[in-house]
Amino acid sequence: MSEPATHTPVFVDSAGRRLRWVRAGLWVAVLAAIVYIALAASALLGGPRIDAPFLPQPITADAPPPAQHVEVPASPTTAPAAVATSGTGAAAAAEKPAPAPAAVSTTAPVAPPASAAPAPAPSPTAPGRSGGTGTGTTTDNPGSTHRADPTGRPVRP
Amino acid sequence: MIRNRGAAPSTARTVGARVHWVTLAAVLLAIAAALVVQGYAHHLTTLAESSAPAAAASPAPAAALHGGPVIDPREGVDTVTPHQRTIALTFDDGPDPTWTPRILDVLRKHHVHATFFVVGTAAAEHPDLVRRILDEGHEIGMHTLTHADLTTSPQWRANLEMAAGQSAIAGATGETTALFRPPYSSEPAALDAADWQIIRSAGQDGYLSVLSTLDSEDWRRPGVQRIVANATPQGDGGQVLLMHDGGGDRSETVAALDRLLTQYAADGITATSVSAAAGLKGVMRPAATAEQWSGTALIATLWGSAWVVGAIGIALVLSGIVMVVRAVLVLFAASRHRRRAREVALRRTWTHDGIISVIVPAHNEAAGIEAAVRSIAASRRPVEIIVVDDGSTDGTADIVEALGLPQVTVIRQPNGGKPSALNTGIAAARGEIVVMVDGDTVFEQDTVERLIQPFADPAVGAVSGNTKVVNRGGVLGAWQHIEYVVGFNLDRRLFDIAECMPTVPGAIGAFRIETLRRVGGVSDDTLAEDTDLTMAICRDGWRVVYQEDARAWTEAPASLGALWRQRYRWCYGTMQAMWKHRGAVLQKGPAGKLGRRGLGYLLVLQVILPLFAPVVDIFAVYGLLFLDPMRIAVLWLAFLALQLGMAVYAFRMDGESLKPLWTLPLQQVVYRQMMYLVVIQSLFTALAGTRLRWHRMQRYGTLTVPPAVTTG
Repeated sequence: MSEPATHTPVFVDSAGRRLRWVRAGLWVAVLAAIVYIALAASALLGGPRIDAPFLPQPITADAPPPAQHVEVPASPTTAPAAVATSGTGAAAAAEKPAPAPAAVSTTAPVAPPASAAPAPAPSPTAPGRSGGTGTGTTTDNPGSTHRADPTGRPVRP
Repeated sequence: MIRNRGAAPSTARTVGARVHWVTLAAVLLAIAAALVVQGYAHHLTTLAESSAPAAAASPAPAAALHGGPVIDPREGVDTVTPHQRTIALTFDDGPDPTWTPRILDVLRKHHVHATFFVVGTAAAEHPDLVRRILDEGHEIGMHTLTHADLTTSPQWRANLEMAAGQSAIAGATGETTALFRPPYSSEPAALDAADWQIIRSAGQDGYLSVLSTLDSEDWRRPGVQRIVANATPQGDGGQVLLMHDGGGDRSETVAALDRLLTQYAADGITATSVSAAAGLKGVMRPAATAEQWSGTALIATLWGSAWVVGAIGIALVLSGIVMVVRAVLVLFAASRHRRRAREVALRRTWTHDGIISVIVPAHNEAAGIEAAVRSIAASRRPVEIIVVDDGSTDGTADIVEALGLPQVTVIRQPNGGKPSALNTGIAAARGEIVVMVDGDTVFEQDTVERLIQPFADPAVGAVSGNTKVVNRGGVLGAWQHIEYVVGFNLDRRLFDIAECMPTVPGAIGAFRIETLRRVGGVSDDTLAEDTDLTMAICRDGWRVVYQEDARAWTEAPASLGALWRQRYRWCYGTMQAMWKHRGAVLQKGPAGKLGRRGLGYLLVLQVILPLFAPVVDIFAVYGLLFLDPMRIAVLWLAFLALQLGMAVYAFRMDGESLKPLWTLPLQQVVYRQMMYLVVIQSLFTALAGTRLRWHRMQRYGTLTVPPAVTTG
């Protein structure tokens, strides 16, 4: 009536080979889970370094060159000050760090040279932008740029 | 499956590592991470914190308020406006699989380039579109990872939005962009202190912020006419036009764009990208290899998360369907079974003339054996009682002998396991009908009489009785009581009606001796010898039925540890039996019914569903955090109500008080988790083929196992 004594119980693998396989498989699953978590964490927390080019330089009121010719270097880290500008404003544009409030014609009256702080003093008479307000002659220059910072921009490292 | 605990000792211990728990923890953590990523990327709407920097920040400087729409705040405030009679076309919130390609087609038709401020998650979802944008000569700008309102975001989130938004672009295109448009921004004149803070912080990260001066308001979908009017500049000043390619139906945008570009060309207005309009160069740059890899990783993470959440969603729906279908099936079957049982009860007349043998396998049952044997001896229907003492060390056999009951035979044998004890009893039985009962189970006076009624039908080979829990006090007792009542009154009636009974419980079952002989007695192949035996009987072509009024009272495990060991043995044993009888799936007749219906039911409801249960728990937390908490709560309550309704029905059928049902909601927190952990443990043991100590102890043969090892 009874089953033979040599019967192995269902599922039991006395050699232990299956245990090794299952264990290896599970460790692989653990590894995959950890890799995923690490990947998610690193991907969400890190991001590329961005270094925007500088804006095209202000155009002096007395000698407005065509703005289309203002070039900003592709990589500011290499030659940030190299601005090839045709026309009489070339010297002024190339010397960006030079404290040249005159270069920013419309801001000159409201931005005293003394305020060397990077944060510009808010001023109600700051240069108006286009929008039909017509605050200055340079407003309508193509590619016109307004600078409220009279100290000029230091050469970037 | 409700069964009674057997005489098998309960020192379950796998000989092997606990790697499956480590795996479970790691996998659940990874799923949780995927859910967090997905929840963050797609469902986060309420993370705004009142501690936004607005109050502390300096107001936007006048130079910005009155300056151009392209802002470099790195040193001072530097702004630029597009050239005269030039419009910088900008499209926000894309890419979108439907509308972005159409907008690109219109742009190509007019030979015009534009700037697309892409949302990181959308870019990650459609990297091909981002590449197409670039390939067709357009420009990419960054619009954060999830279109978050940075002005109300905590610092960590603002950082993440900026970094990951860019990373998605780098991953999709291999390039980075220096253009940034803050979400929810408009024209420079509208900048407030909080906006300025964002622009300044973006500047510190190396970005130029691009606001707009002309809002098409296309997102309102005001009609093509209106969009065209909105996007038509007044005067000759350069403009940055804001349109949208993502975030909804953009058919009006596409139509308006076509007309606008025609109109601009006629008016001599140049439409182009931001950098061309403002004379910027070097806005897009190749990403470093590491950055590109990191971006690819981000995209893969987002994809993986979306996939995981999608799969879980499907599985949740499926499991919901399974639960509802089961409820319907079980309620239908139970009511039918009940009706039929009433009819049978009315014309109950069957009497069996022969001897009925009651076999009581006992291993160290000193505590309960006297009550058990006395209750059986007190049966209205005279029976022969055979107590098989399976190597007890606590004098179980002596107790029974001391009772001096004439109808009781005591057989002592060396410890050989419950199957061997049962087989000894079967061999000694003189009756044509054999009743098997555990040594800790008490019968009512009519139990035996009622139990054998179904044998009036010669096709019936075995009958299951109704096991009731004696010790139902306390939460653990109440939980098990609920489980027994539901299991016996609903599932078992279903199995009866469907003719696929997988288990006659060891606590109370009746068999034809002929049936037992035909299937070769009780096998020790599995730890659930009762399930194994019942399946074998079903496969031999016998009907196995349920007799609900034949009650046996049993003691349920009183501690979580004991319950764990009992359920582990049941679950693992059931899996063994299922595997052993897997061939039934392809068989015809009664065997096929067991194979397809019975095994299918067990596989889905007792293996697959519990395996998925931990994910349900995690998903519930996810739903509460990221989805609509009300909806999750309502859904959860609905399923609880379903369970409660079924339990109430089962309790009513059994004439039980409904009081213990108050513990049902509590089952969700400890009991449920324990039950699915048992399934996971069992599955691991099954897959790994690890040897349980039970197996060593329960081998047939004459070897004497040291009593100390077998204590349960």
